[in-house]
Amino acid sequence: MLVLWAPGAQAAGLSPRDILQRIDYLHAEDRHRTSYVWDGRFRTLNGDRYNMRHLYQSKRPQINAKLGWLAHESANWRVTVPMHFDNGYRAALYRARPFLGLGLVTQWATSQRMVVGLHLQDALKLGGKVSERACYDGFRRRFHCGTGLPWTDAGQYLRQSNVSTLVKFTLNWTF
Amino acid sequence: MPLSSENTDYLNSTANIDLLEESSALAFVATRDTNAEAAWDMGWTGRGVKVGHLDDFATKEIPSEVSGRNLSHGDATLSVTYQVSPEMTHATRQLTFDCDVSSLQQHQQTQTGYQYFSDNGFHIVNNSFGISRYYTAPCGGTPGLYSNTDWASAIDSTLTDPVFLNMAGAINDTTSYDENMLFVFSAGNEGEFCRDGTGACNLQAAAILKLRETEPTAGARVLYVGSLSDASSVSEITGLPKALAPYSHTAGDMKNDYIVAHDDIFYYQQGIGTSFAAPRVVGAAALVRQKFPTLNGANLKQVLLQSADDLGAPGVDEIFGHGQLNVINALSPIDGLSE
Repeated sequence: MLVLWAPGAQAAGLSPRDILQRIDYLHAEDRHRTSYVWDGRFRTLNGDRYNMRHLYQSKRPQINAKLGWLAHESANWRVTVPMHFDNGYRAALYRARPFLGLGLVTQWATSQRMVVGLHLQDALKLGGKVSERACYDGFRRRFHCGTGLPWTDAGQYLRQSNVSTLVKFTLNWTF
Repeated sequence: MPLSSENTDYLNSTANIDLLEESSALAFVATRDTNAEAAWDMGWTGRGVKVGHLDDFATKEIPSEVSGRNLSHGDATLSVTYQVSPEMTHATRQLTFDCDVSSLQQHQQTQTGYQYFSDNGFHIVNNSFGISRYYTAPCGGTPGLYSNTDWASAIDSTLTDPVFLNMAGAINDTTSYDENMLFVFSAGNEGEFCRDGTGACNLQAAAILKLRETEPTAGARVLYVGSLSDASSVSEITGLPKALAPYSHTAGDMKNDYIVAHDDIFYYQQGIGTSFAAPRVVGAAALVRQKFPTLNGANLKQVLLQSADDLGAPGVDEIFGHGQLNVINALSPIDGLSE
């Protein structure tokens, strides 16, 4: 993320130290977070148990990172751009495209004791689309290996991106 | 549940539908002994699957203690299919079982029926009829036996019959009926005279066996159904070994095309023949077909066979063939899962 943004930042005349100072927060983890992946374990109608986890294991590194970029800060006005990146997921039966979400957080200190904030997170969403594939039994019948259902019944259960736009209004008092 | 009907051509067709609807409140014996209700709970009811019954719907001779009126043989077989697959789309074609109707007329009725089902995209056809080597003299008299010469002649004659060849011939034959069709036949009820197996006692099965000598895929879309004895219903509670009904032809040389099911019509101990075991398998096939619409007739048959509960000697045997119909297994994965 830092490398990605550095050229633009340098073009704006920011030194590496400035860049670090502009990072309001950074959370990163080695997990896919923008959809819920099946674990591949299920029981069929006749009671047989299946463990198809290997078909849902990602072949792509899982990365999820959230970064707040301090775009503007003055005595009583602060603007942050929250960025959300997910590297996606790529398994035999499950694929989530990489995701980038952008938002805007403005905080205005109306007095020394009160701050009003408007938070828009993941307002602009790029990528993240989820697609699933069927698995097959010995007769090439299509099943959904997340649930064990016939593929024709699985439509209502197919996963989608779980990222939703968050709109939040805050009012902070200091006592 | 609603029953979709199209182009019924038998007499009193409305009465037939009424019969099914007025009976639908009952806990049907075929629903219970196939465990179809577990499939219904999942929404698998045969909806959208087109099932044809080629049968006698005109001759009302089977007493119904459900509606208080007599049923035809076709009414009864259709009722059994309905008990397993209540939302199928069905059509019926008349095949008159009557001594006044010539075999030529019956042949024409069969041809007309199959052609209709094929032309109209039907998936499964119930055939609760057949010609047995040990015939039971339907117009009176004592049971008789084809001579070896007569039997061989009848087989040879069958092998030149286009209707038979279109139905049971090689699946890649361009004249054959639609590849998605499955033809389910009752195995035959002369088992008390012939325990040598369906292929030795049932004319069409015998013809298929002979045809396979030159056409290995002959009969790939044809499935034979034998009857479990009523005592077998009890044995599910008592744990006694399951047995073939004494009148049912055994699997014999047709063991790879043979499955068994119970044969009561509306209630326990009403079983009167393999005619009513076959429509259970037809109903089960409709449930499977609903959820796996890409299966062709040959594969649908194999799914039903491979998912059956093994009975008798381990594996496929000459008595029970592949074993007892298991609807729930047929709707579950077979031979593992892979990407």
